Amino acid sequence: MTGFWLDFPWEGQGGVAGELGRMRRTLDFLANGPSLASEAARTAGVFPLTNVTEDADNFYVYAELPGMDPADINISITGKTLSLSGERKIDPEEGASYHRKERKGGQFNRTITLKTNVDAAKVEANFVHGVLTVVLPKAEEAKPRQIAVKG
Amino acid sequence: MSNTENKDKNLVAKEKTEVTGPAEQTRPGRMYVPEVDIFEKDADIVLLADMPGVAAEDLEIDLRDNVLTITGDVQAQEKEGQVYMIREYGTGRYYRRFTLSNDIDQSKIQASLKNGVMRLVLPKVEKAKPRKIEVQAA
Repeated sequence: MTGFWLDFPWEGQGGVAGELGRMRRTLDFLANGPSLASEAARTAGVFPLTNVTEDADNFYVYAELPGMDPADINISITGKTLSLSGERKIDPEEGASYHRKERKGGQFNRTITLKTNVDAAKVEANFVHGVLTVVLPKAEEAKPRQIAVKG
Repeated sequence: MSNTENKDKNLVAKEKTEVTGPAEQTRPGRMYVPEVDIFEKDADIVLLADMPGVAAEDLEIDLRDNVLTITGDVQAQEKEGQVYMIREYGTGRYYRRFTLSNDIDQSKIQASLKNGVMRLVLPKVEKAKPRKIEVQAA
């Protein structure tokens, strides 16, 4: 191994800089209230990390799965439960000597329970630049309805 | 790591690492450190970086004074009008720097991007061949 690669240590997570970063985030929190940084600490602890949003018609589930082949991602829906599973394959290079090995491969299986039932037949998923997006239309009976008040 | 080791292993959720330090103040918004693999072969050094959400036109690779800087901008995945129910990761710019040795042929570096993984191939300079110097008899 030769010393080809030198990280810039103050840009990582450790050391004095990491301590300063944590301090800055604490100050951020005190000044601005809960933000993403503090919310992100409350993850389910299951791979992949997921963002879920909704609007009037759909739920949207986002997950970052860089380097995965879309064919290796399994998505299934039962009632209001979405399940994501698959395997991220990282094949070691033949005849190569590693300087860094941070990317991890392996299997995953995660379920996400939504607030209401979804129309399973109309669920769509796409995978662009390593980001999975699943759009789940809410079931008709679960959609909010506008009720006109009679005068 | 061997192939078989990968097989039965379950992936563990890991929070994205935010960039801390001086670089962060140069620009508003969050910045994250991409995870990388770096390996060396006979003819070149290869760097793989996980940069999900980055399109090829938003990827910037800069090399000057032997410092390689990788930057990737990410467009927000969520559209306007959507309300968060679960938010486990943030999106923002990816940023990481490395110092290269002089042994890289900087004119032949190649980069490609597939499914959110950047592959950077850095060809090594051909080592100067050993030369035998004859001593001339006076």
